Amino acid sequence: MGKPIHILAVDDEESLTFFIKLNLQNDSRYDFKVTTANGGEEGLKLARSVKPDLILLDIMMPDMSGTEVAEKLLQDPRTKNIPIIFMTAVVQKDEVAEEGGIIGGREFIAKPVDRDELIGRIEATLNLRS
Amino acid sequence: MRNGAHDYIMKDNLSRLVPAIEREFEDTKSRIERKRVEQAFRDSEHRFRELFENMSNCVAIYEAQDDGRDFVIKNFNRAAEMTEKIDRKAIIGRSLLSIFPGVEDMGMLEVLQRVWKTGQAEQFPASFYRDGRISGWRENYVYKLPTGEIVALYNDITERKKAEMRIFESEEKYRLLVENSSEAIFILQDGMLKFVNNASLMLFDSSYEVLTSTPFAEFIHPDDREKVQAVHLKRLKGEKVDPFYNFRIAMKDGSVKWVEMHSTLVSWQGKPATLDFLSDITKRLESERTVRDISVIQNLVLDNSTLGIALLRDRKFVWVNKRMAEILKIPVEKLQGTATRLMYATEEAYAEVEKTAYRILAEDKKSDHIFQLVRGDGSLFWCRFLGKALNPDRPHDGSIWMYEDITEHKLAEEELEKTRKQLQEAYRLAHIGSWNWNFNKKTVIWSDEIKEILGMDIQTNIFSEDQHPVVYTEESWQKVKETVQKVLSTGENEQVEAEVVSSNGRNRWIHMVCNVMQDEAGQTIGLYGTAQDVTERRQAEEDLKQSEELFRRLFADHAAVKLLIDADTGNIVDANEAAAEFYGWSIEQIRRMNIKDVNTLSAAEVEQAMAKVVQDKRDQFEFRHRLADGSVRDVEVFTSNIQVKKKNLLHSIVHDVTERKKLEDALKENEEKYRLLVNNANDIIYTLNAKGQFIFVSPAWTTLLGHSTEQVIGKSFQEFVHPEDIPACEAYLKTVIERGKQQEGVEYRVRHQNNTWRWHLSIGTPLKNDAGEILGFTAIARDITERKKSENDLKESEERYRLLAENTTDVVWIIDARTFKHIYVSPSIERRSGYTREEYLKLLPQNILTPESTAKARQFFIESLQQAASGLPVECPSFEVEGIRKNGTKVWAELVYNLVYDSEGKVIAIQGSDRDITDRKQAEEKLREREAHYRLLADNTHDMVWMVQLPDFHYLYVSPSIERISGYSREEAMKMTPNDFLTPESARQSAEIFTRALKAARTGQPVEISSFEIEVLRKDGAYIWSEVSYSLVYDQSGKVVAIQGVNRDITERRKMYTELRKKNAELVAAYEELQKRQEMIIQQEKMASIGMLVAGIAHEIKNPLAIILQGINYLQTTAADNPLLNEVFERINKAVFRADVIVKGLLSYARQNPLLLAPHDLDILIDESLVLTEYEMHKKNLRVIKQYEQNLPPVSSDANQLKQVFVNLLVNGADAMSKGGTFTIATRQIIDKGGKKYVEISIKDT
Repeated sequence: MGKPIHILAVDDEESLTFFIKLNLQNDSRYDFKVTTANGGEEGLKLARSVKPDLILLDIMMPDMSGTEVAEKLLQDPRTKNIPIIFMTAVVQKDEVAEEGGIIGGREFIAKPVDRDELIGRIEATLNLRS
Repeated sequence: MRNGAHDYIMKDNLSRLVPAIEREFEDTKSRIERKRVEQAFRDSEHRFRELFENMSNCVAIYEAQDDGRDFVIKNFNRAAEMTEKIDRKAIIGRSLLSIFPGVEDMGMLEVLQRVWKTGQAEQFPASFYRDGRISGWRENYVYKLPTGEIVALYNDITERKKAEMRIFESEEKYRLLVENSSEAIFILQDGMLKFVNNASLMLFDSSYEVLTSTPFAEFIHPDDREKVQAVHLKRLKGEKVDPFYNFRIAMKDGSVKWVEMHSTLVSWQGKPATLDFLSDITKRLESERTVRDISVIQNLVLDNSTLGIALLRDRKFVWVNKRMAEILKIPVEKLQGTATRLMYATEEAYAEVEKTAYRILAEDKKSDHIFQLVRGDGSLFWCRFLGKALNPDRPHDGSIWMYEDITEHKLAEEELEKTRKQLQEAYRLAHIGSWNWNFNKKTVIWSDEIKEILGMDIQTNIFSEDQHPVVYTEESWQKVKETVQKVLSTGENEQVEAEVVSSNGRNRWIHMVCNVMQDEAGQTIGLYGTAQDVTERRQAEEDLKQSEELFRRLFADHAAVKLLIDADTGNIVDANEAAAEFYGWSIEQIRRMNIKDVNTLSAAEVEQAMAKVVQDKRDQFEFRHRLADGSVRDVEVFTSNIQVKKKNLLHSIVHDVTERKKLEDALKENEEKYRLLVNNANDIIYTLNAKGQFIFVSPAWTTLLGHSTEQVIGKSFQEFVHPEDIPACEAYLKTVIERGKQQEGVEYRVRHQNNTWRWHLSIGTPLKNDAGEILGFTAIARDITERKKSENDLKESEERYRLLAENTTDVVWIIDARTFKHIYVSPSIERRSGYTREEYLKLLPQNILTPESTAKARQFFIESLQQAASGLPVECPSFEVEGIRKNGTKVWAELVYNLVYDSEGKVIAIQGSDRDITDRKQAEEKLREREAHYRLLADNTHDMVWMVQLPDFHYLYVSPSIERISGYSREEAMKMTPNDFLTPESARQSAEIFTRALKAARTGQPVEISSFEIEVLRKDGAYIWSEVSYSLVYDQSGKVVAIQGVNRDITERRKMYTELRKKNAELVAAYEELQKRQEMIIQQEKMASIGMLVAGIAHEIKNPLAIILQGINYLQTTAADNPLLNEVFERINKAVFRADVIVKGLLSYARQNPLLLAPHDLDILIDESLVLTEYEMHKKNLRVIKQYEQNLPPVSSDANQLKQVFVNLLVNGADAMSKGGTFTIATRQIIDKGGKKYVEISIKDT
């Protein structure tokens, strides 16, 4: 097994990141390590410092929007290759499905999302099952 | 082989050769046989192995182990290897469950166990296999080999399954599409609906059951059933029909919907049917119809406009209305597309308009011009045109112009100007100036005549307070001011004469007429009038007044008793103060008396005496007059006849001769006392001898002249007589002596003793002896100094009169009754004729008058002379003659004359006077000309001008335009009354109005004169509308005698007005419609904001839901063994999803926009879509080439939905393309065979 999969969960809803962390770290199949941030700026800072394997990024946040965070990450050579899954309450699940879960070339998860789907999407993105 | 025959040969062991050979043969035979069998077996095995290996089916051979709980993989062919992505070497001999752990879930294990146990082959239908490594759909056939091994023959059907799934998904998609389509979609077979979507239920407003159990025809409007069925049958037969057609469907509630149906022939459950799409186009049709109607209205309005209207683009007519074509006399079709240059007569005119008009248009102003343009037939006309740019930045891209043919107007204006000039000229000739004072403009306009009359250049208002001292005397200014105020307060015109101060001290008098100027509304906006120099006339009047005064005083203040008696009646017209004193009555009393009241003679005698005076036969009478105190006096009356206004007035001077009479009587009575009488006579009685020496002289000499008789007797008369008078006296003496009888007296001066001269009159008689021999001369001399003095007074008076006569402008003359040559003419002739008096007297009548006037004068004179000759009463009427001046110019005069009789009553001369009436004649002439001029105007006016007399309303005048207006000839009309032309309603109205006006005029109330409209019934039966404005005509006594008026044809105007009202109503309706739409839009916007609100709320709800879900997920892991807790979490889980579904539904409801159809420019929609996909384009560095067709018509569509389509197309295309690709977007308009217009949009990628 070796090195754990490091996930950075960014959402202004503190309870949500709390549960995501709990659920992911509780997973039996994969060894997830979850760092949480409760705002865009904090998320950006942590992404740069911890260099996670994947970022779960809420879009609508009061201080800095998820898209803005993503843009800044892309500009930074240290972080530009970190895969991002956006989370949003606005985009409908079926719309996500229709567009292949990708808008503007990014992964999307529509809130609310359950644990299995969340893990499934992380698996897919990080290609963990091959 | 090694133990074969050759071994023997080789080893020389021949003895054993035969058996060996035989054995060899046997061996060989069996060896060959074995080899053959072996070979056959090998071949067969090989063949099967190849078969097994190369079979397209996957084959797996298992052997049961562990009592069938697991199987060992015995063999696996290549296809199976490929399918399962596994090397058989790695798996043969290994457990099935360890290699393919998913077989149990798949159900395959169960099948294998069953076949192993029963030996019965089994078909295992398509099932999904999945493990951590692979997944896929498999279809198995499982059987048991006699060896007990189990063979699974199977196929990987994942692809097929996927395809099936795709089909299923696709089918689902279509189903959703159909179900959610806003169009009604259904399958029609055998006249029944076999399949209907939701929209169909809504469209037909029926349930699924009703729709599918009722013949479709029943839903079609009865009028359209036949048509729809015909098309349907044709389609079923496979004939070509238009896929789209419209018909009506009848709704349950009785209403009708228009639908558009699109049908395609399909096979439904093996039988032909049609797939039909039905859309409700009721609204669209309605709006189309409205658009069509509005366009008809527009065309109607534009084409019926009295203005030419044109749309210009790039100096060409793009569109024109009918009127424009009429104005230019070029057909509409020809005009459209033609350059505007053709309507300009010259290059300069065109350039001028080009230069100015478009500059004005570019400033977004209205461009207004009046130009002479040319019509299609080459004729010129005046046009006023007005333009407005559609887009001021590029005025040549489109401008709207309105053209008005104002030729008529212009001509009328010119005509008016001409008339005005003529009138001005007339004023100028008549020395009448005109002025115009406009309050609004605060200007006063003076014609040049006024400046000439006043001898000054007036720059300002001669009615203004600050100017008056310069213009008027103070007294006149007050008058002018009062007049202006009066005019303004009454509205009636007034006249005033004012004295104008002149710088040279000779003030002028002007006569001004002041009128109120009113605007159309009847508001006073100024004053206007004329001004005429009347200084000359006033001067003449003044002179006359003075002369009259002189005469009056001559009469009234004279010391002699004077009476003025009417010769016809004897009435005393006037008496002087002396008369009053003499008669004892006041002058007033005398004026009420008749001469017969005074004269003691009988009435007849008095009349006879008066007649004599009139006939100029006698002028001296002796009468006895009665005085107030009853006494009677002898009077000597000297009477002369004065003709005043053709009336004979006797001017009588009455001398009281009572005393003288008494003396005479006494003389007669007392002959004896003769000498005494002589001696005591007041007159001197004397006798001269032939030598002229006094022989006898009465004592009166002494009394009268102072000398004693002794001093006189014996002396020659010459010693006493004034030397100047001696010749006359000598001549008289000689005459008396020579003739031998009494002669009329001689007047002379004789010296008084005190050396003064006295006038004496001597009447002498020859003194004869009894033999008749003349001895001397006896005479009576009377002192006539007093008389002489009074005579001189008289002479002076005469001189004054003469001077008066000779100084008046009238010419006084006497002509010979036989030759008609002038005997006398007053000096005023010099000024009148230019001849000197002497020259004039030598002229013949024909030199003085025009031939016509000469003849006329002769005729009048001869007639009067003949009357006189035949003893008839003589009439001497005045008449007018035209004289010729010395310089050849002509002058009109009014002539008054009288016959002059000699003492025997024979006419010897004609005396008369004439007065220059040239000015009056000219004024009359002018008046006549003006009358003719106005008549000409009235006769030629477009409007109908008329005047009717009262009370019968017969036409006094009506202009010829009545023929145009009423269809009746002027002659016919003159026999009719105005009401005969009117419809009964209009006749009643008109009568009512006139009656009211006349009543007001009669009762002295203000007459309200306003115009009114009437309907005229023409002779040809047509009706036209006419506007009447009228005014009342008064005679001098202020009685209304006629009504005059003007009728104007306003049929067009009324028509226009009606049209306008109609249009207005339409506009109001359109406006209301607009308002309704606006409300709808507001409603929709409200919905949109509700949508946004919902989206916001959804977001706010979804975040907590996400938290709850994650929380439950966590808790679930902790309570794995507790079924009750699991149940609880499952229920919460479900509740969360339900909440999510509700929110989702709410969101999609909020996003569900109704189809918003509106005309849109597709190019713009595409461009807006491109903006939305900029990110994708940029990301892939894609290029876009736009090929938009110009001037595409707007397309009725929902902008948002169309944009969605474009965005999806572009995003999909962008995904499919490699970097640096190109999009080509083209739009064009296409028209199908049916004339339907479409816009085609193509988006091509690379």
